[in-house]
Amino acid sequence: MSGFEPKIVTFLCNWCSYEGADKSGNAHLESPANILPIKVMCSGRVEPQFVLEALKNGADGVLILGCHPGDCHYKEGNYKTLRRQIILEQFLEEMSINPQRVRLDWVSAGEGEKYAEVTKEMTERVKELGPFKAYELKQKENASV
Amino acid sequence: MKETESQAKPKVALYWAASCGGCECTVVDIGEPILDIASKVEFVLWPVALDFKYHHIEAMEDKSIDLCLFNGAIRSTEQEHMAKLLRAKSKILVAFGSCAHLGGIPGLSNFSTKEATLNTVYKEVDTVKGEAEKKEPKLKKKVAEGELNLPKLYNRVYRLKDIVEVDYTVPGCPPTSKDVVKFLTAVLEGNLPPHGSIFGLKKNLCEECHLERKEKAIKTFYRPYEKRPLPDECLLDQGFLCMGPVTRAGCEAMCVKANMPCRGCYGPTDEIKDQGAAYISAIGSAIDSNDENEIKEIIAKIPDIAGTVYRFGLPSFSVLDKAGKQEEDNHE
Amino acid sequence: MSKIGVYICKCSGNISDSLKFEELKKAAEEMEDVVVVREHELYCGQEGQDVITKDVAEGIVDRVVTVACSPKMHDKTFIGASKRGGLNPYLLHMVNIREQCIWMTPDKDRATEKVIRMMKGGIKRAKYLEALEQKEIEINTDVMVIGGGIAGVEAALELANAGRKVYLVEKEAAFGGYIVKLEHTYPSGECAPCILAPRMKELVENENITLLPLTQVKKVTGFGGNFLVEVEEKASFVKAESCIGCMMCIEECPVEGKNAFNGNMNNRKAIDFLVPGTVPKAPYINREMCKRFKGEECTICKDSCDFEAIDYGQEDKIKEIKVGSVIIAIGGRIYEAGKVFPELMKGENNIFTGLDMERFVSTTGPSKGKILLKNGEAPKSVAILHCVGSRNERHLPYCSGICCKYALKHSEGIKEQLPECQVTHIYNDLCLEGKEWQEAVKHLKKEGVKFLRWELGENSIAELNKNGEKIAVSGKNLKGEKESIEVEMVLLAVGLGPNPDLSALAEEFSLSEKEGYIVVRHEKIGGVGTTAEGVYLAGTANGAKDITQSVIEAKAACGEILSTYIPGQKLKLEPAVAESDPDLCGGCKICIKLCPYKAPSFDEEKEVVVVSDVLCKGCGTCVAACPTGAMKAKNYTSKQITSEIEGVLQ
Repeated sequence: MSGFEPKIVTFLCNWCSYEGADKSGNAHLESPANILPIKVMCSGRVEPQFVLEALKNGADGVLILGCHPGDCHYKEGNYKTLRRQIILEQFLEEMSINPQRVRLDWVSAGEGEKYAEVTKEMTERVKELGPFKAYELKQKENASV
Repeated sequence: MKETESQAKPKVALYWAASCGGCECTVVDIGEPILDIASKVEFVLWPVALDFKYHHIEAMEDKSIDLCLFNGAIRSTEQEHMAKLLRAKSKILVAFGSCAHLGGIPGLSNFSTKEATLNTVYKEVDTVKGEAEKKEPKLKKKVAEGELNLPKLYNRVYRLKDIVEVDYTVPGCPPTSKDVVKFLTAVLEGNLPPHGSIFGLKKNLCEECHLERKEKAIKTFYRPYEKRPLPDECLLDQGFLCMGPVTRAGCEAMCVKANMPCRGCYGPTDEIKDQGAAYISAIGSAIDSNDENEIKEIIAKIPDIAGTVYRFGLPSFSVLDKAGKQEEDNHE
Repeated sequence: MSKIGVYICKCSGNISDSLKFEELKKAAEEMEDVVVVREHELYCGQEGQDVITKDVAEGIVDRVVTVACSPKMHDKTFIGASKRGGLNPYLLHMVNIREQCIWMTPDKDRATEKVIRMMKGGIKRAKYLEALEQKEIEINTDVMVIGGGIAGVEAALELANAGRKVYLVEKEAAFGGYIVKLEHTYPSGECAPCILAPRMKELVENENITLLPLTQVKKVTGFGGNFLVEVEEKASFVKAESCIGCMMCIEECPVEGKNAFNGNMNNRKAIDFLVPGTVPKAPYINREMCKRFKGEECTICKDSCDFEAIDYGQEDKIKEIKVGSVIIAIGGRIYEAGKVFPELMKGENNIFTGLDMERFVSTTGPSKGKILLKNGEAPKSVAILHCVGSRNERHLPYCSGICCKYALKHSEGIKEQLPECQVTHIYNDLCLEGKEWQEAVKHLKKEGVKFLRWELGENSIAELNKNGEKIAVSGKNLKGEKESIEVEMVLLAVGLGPNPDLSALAEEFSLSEKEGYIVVRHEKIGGVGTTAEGVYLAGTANGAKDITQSVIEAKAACGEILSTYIPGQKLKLEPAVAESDPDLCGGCKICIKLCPYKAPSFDEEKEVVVVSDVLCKGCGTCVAACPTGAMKAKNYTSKQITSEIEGVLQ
């Protein structure tokens, strides 16, 4: 879909992914302007409600970046995010929202390159999915009926 | 709202839109006190019990109805018309029951489409024989006496507040008879909570639940038929999907007292915007595993997450439907 | 109504050159609640900072939003500038458009669009920021060191010399831990008791140290800075202050049995010293051996004492001790060779462990320093097996890092005493870092010591079979070929495993465990800390390591304690923590198990959850899970975050 630039709300955790993003910027690695970063102390703070608020307000995708499992500054916050992510993806699909629009990944403070990669991949992915529309999965279903 | 000096009784209307009739039953279930209440008010509309017509309402002055208890969701032009009419004619319009408040059980229709629904009912239904009979009703038909009309169905189910401004909400499917008495008494005594309030307690159902709760660490989920719950132990602790934690208290946990997990019919507490999202966040966090595959297995035990958490509130899921009517339904 | 001031930094062209700068200002001016939008070349400079300070001081703004570099770069700078004007630091929000936008977005138009979005998000969030106060609490600067081995002893002395009051708790009757069982350290050859002796003396003489032998921690309440520790001090039945060490009681005692401390290689009496040369300098009655604990009214030791040092009336005591911080230095456990070779270790075979060898060569040991077979003769051949019970899923899955070293040490010791003895090392890898160890290997090889390299095998590196008086040692070399040697004595280099007592302590101090050890605060830069404030680890209690490393950790823990818990100073608490509204909490208890710091707890009386603002670190995990919205994350409230979401998508 040419010309479509998705808006991707991105949650960054203070100790790992936010630093990783800064490192990426410090190295002047290019990453998509589609990424709209919001800082939280821990990825564990990110609740499904935030993901839904983002989609409701016009986001086409949501990216949550936390510390690698086992390295969470607060010990296990990222594991809780993982648990919620799994149930969230199931839930989104049932609500006719493509779960591919919400991604959870891990970027450590030193991974400037990974930040650039993950943000690029996510942007490409959401570009292909197109703008977020209500009942998108159902429309696909009905179209084939 | 007090009884006026001229001793004119307060006018009360009860109306049912897309609903099951349970909210009418709960009013009748008040029992004897209803006689006392009935003697203090004048009913001007109550389709299930009394024979007033719409044109009686249309003829009334604006704001001449003191209290209107409006139950049922809005899914047709008729229901929308009545909602707007009663809003204009009523001083206090109350969203009565889950359907008016959140969309209710009829709201589950939003998982499907209007086309698919009508198709199932009129065309693919097994009990209608003969191809000629399998057709959707038309909305207009000319007969000798004139033109007959049917209300048009909308594509989505709406809450009362999506159509008109609501003054108070009495939640529940149905609201308990006790709560109805409390509310009516508050109205009659002029003792109402702040405008816009949802009647009930501020806390979640755990506040009223008699079961013993432990620190949550869920290893697996059970559907109610899969095992007999142990008495005195929190149902969620035991793996049943009890919506109590995300549900406003006020019903005295009647379902839980009958060994059934709460289904969330009173809706969320004031601070929570989305009951379903709050629930998946809560139980997701409480799953006792850090292994991706194990977590997937545990969640697979919930057959229909969306239907479970939005049993009464699907039309309130605001991501899909911005507040108010959808564009496609705005033609009338 | 808030008055938001937006300060857009040009960063001397770094920012402004890459954007359509005027669009930025315009967008900010159009936002609700924004009363002033300024720009400057360099807000982090003194002049720039003064602009912010002035606006705040004059009451023009009550919220500051910087649109500039990363908070990781200049948060202190802008907090300072705002504070100087009288602004609470939590009413400042920094929008990071430099590192996280300009420097990653070469296209000027796209960069401008993104910057405007990020700025709008920040401004919308700023509206809902709340001032937070930093609380302070009184703290106790006394320290409890749990474990009287070399790490614990060094820590106690270090802290006592810095003026702190120290309680040194030890489960056994005497202090010194494993090191008292050693004769020499290696490769320096220093005498181990000589390292220890002056320390022991100081322990007794230092007024700041309270020694608590035969004592264990039972229960802990409180938190870093304010712990209440309940310990049980078992009776020794001997008054150390009256005892002169004449040993008459020991001579007279009628009960003799195996000395577990010496690896059952010699005997001891029911009343005896745990080990000579350490403190306290008094014997103690071993309850498992003494007749009095079997119902007999034996008073022989008491009768033999001219100094009335023996007191049968001594009772086990429970003591409550208040301290501010704790060091756990209870040591690890030598892996039981009997788990690797169950049958052979039961009998009277010439198979020994490294510790047994230490006792052999010790002048205070069972054979007064001579290495002997069970038949009393000196061995002519010895096989030293490395990795016994290590690097094996059945036993210890890791390498302890010390066994190869002590294997070489014993090799040297054997050759020194018995130059004609054929010593053969059977190893898989040699874990020896540093130049001295390579020299040691070369030296041993020159002395005729053999090194055979074998596969690790399912149970162990070799199979042992008795062959009359000798022992057949067989295994596979790296080519897969079977090899076998026959020797008179086998020495097993076993690894160091976790201490079973660690679990109970972890429970009491609310620490997380993983595979028998405690999870440290940070793998790289917090190795002696734990997730609980005020609780530290040192020595082999938390992983196999040598004496050098154990002492380094002890001193590191002391460093952290001395710099954190300072007499006269209060402890500052993190303000941006979680808080539970008792009017909204229904007590579902979903939050409680989610917290690794045990910050939320259930108040049984009020039937609501209460969050300790001392223990909470502010991660927000419980807030995200709270089903009623009772839990609030200060400075990261749902309102603030959803406002920012709305702002960036506007």
